[in-house]
Amino acid sequence: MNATTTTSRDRTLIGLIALPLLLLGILLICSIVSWQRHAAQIKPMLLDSFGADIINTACPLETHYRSTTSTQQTATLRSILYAVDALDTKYRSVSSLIRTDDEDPAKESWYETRNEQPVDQYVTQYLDEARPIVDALATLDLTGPAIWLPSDFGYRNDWTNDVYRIEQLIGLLRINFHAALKSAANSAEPDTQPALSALRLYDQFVALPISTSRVGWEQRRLSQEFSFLRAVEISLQHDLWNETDLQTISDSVGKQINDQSRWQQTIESEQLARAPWLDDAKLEQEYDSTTYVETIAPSRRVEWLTQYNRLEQMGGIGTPRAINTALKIQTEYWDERGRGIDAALQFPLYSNEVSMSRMDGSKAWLAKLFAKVANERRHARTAVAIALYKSKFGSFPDTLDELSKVGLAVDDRQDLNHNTFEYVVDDDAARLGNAAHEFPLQIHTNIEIYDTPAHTLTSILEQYRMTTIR
Amino acid sequence: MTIDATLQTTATTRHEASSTAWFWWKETRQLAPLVLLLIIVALMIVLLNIITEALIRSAGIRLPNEVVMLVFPGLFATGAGPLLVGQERMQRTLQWLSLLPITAKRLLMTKFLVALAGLTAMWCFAGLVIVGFGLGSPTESPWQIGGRTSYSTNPFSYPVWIVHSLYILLAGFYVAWRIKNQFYSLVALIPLAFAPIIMTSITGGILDRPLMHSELDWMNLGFTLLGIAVIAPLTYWTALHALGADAAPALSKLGSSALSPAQILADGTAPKFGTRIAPIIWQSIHSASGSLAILAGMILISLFAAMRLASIRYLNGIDNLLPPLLLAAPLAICWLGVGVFKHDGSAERVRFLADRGVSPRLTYLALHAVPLAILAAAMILYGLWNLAIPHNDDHSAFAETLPTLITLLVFAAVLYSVSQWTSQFVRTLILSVILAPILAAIIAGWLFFSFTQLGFSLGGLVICALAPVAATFFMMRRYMDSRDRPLTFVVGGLVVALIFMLPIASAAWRIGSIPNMAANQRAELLDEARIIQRTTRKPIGVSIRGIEPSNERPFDFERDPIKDIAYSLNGYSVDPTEIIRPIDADQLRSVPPATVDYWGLDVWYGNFHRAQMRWQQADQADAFDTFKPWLTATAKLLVGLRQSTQLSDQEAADRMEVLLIDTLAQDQMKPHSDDAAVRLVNAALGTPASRSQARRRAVLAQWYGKLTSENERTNWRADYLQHEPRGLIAWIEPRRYEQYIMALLDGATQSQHRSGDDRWLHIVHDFNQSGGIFSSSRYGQRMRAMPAIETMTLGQLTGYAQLWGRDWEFANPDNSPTSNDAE
Repeated sequence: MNATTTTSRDRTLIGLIALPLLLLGILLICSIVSWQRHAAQIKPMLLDSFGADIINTACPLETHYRSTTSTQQTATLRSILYAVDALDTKYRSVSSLIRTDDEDPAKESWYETRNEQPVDQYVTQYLDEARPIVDALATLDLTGPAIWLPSDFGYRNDWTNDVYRIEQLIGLLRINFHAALKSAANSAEPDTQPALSALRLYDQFVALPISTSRVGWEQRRLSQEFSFLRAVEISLQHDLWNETDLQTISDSVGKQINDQSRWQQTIESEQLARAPWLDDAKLEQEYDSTTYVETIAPSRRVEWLTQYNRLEQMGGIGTPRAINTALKIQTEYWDERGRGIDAALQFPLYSNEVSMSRMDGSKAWLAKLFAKVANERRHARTAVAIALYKSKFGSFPDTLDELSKVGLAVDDRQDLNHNTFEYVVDDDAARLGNAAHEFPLQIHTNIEIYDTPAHTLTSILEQYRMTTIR
Repeated sequence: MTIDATLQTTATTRHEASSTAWFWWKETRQLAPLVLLLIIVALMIVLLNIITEALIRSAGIRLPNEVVMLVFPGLFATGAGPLLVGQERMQRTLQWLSLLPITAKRLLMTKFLVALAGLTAMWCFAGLVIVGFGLGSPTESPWQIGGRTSYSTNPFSYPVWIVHSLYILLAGFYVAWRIKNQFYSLVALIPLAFAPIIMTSITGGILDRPLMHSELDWMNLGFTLLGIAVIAPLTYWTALHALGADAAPALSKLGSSALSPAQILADGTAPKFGTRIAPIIWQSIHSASGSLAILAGMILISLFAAMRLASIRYLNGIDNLLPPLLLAAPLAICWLGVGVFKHDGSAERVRFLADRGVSPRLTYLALHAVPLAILAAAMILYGLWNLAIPHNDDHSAFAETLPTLITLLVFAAVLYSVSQWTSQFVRTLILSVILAPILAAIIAGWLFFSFTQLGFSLGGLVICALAPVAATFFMMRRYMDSRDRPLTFVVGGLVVALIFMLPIASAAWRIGSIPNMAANQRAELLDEARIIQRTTRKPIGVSIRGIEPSNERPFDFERDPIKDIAYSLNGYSVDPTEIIRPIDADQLRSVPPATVDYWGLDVWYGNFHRAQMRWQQADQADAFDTFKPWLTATAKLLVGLRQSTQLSDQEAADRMEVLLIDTLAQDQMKPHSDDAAVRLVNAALGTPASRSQARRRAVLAQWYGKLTSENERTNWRADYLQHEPRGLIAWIEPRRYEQYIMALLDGATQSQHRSGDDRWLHIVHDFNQSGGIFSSSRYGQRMRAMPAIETMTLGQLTGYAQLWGRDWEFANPDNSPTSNDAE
């Protein structure tokens, strides 16, 4: 077999064989280049958002948390939180009867359905024992910066979050308020001051300054705020409050809360919590008691970061628009719209980062929670305004439009779809329909749940619930 | 078997003129390699299973499922026909055989009966392994047709397996007599072999109802018997036809334009090439164009099946057949590798090239060129397709499990590399075709196991994947000259040793790199631990969560919840004096060792503060008296806990001490500094030295307890073990634990004074919070510099020694009494 000069047949044949190998090589080289190019974008994006002082630390979330909190009252708050915990341990058999409904935080089973049962004596006993704790709360200065609470930041199994004990404290204050209210309602000559004080205290701790750097806290805080607003509405059915009291309550539920800012801080916290992961691409997964590490392509990490930047910047928090925007942004991420060619070098699967986005939880769901509370805030303001109107003018207003006489803004008379709340006046009571009473709050991993007609916001808002004001 | 060997066998076999004993012997020898290789591979699987399971589980071994063994007779049946008939037809020895004075009927029956004997031998072997190793389920009756249960891992009863293997044997003979090309006949055998199962699935689909497992078993048996009834006469007639005289070439064929390469050459229309490599490639394509097309088709079928699966959320109807089609691609990759050295006439071609002085390197490259190009094209298609689809289970659960291009490349490289090596190593095409996928699967499985379970590196994986390629390259010159034996066995042995030993060596190095105690240090510490164990009294349990009602009320559906509350509240006590009664003593030195439920520490801490709040908010002058029992009880508990040799009790003692020191430092306590309770607290407080000693004792006792524990099963859920390769845990765990114990002992020593050495803290942190960030943890300098009362965990434990050596240890409470003797 003698070789002479290369013929076109040689070139074609060798070319045909070499072409797939060459193309595969090019594909792999492009993937490597894409990997490098995207990886170089991550740090500047983080630095741009948070600055070098935070990002160039081992645990950016901890640095940020430290910078937004003070340890001045940590020891005092911890002693109070653990005291509540100890008290609740003793009264855990009572708690099943007086706890709020998990599905509907506003439902106070003890107060609303069991008020005739002898459980009252145990609630009284519980509150008597809780009195020193409630009094100790006065030693806390709630006007200062958020109170620092310890935890092992950066450790995936960090369950030493004292912050979640605050919910127990708020639970105690809710029962404290309901008991004071009930006591006043059952009294021949009601003194509303204890109930009003209890309400103030309850309000203060619902708004307790806890840094939003605690990932997941905002969701819990929103649930507590919803519960507080419902408690205010429930209190109106007793016709207890005088005009001054109602003005105080009106100020309480009428205060401006910057949902937009809280939303942004929450999103930022999650970005900071993921900052080490964004930087080194390694994601720990657990399977069958074994932890293993997966790599995530930088393009996906850039996309994750972009997704969160978009979520952070989106406006209209507390409105249906925000829910839809959040859903759209997250759906686009799940659909891998911005995936680069570097995903070919991920290990071991193309899909491993999906579990990452699932771990963060649905932001559409968080946006829905904000909307739910915003709606309830409007409803509570309107309900209090109706009671104030009656107290001031001796009768219920004929329409909600008349509530402008007690300073209620037009927006506050409407639900999130800009429909005026349902309002009916009976002989001795007014009823206010809160259309947005129930949002489905389960976390759904399947995004299709939001597309189901039964779960659209409109259908939810059409649900109907009355608050009675006497 | 060559013609010479047959002639020799014929000559040396004593026989009558009509005897065919030599023929039986020849056929048996021809089949023996297949039986032997399958037996070796089956035993290798059992051995590997034992090794890998022994690595993963510290206690006991798990053997392969019986199904693995039941498959081997079927594999034999697949190869027997093509080996006894196909190979002889390919090598044209069958024509020579048919010239001998043996009737066609006897010839085909002898071949079949030898194969049947081989199948019986394989069944005996499989039965021996199943019975010998106890692979079957003792609760099932596998011999009863239709006796399978829904939770059985074995899809068929034994009679169905046996009948099915007989069916495959017949089908193998049929395709071998029918199709001259060995490879084509094997490919044709695949759908034929699965035909009874496919028929069962179709029948199930037609019936449109879920079928019982017993029904499926019976159905499979029925269709297999039907298959035998159809295929047996077909095989007989086809064999007789094949052994008859060849038909004369059809007239139309003479005028055909489809010319063979030889004809082309003869006609002077042969393509002209200017390079040495191009003609070899050209020859590779033209000599095996059909096979290559089939293999490329198999890969495409798998790809299309994957595309379909990735576009649907649920499998319904005909889509149920898609998952098995995915196996076509790995099989095709293996056969592409086999094709390198064993396609039609490959061996002859290689020798032809060697005779003409073509370099082995060039030949090697040329032989690999076409399979690699097909493989690369498939990978490009896969890579590009995956760029276009989403990979989450909202769209398709299958899409979520798709491996990335790089993962698939490594996997394909292993399959291809092992297969091409097998095809150079094994002389017979049929043996290569059967063995290569099995060996490739075993090695791919081993490397996957090594990577995921033994922590084998990606670099090592690539070395192991390429080792067979290097081996065939190294042997190429000798292979071309047919001088590859016996060196090929040596090289093969080295390759196998590398593939199996490299992951083990890498694991051994990993284990060895974890520092552990020196032998004399271990012996000394063990002696010390034994003394501690002997001289320590058993601690008395103290219920710091509060005293629960003594008797559990019987469960009653109708019971009144209010009565339950009354019972529960009336029986529950958080009186500190009552709680510590089991260890109470007039003098501190008489307090016995105490142990508490660490997880209840938050309740004690909370109740302590409740009492403190009550006292500080009360107006009465004697209110302090209500708080004093808590001070006294905590002090006594502290003394009891410090004597305990349980590490968790030392942690509880640290927290009690922090609580007491913090309380004593408060302004409200100053007026009470001379109170007996305060003096008792001061007396109970330890010193850095006493605490250090207590901690050392507890660390050693805990270590000794673990060493002598009857339950030696490793704690899989321990945090530090979750980050270690699971297969190495049994070896890593003792070393890591010793390293941890040494760090704790170092920490106990260093906590006696303010030390800047934090190496022990890093080790303890890594042990307790593996994967966490040191600087932001409770082991980091920032939190350690803060007051312990603000940072310490209560009721939860994220690791021992977080409070050791911190400022509180060296604090001097302002209320310290003039005399430490409070008793």
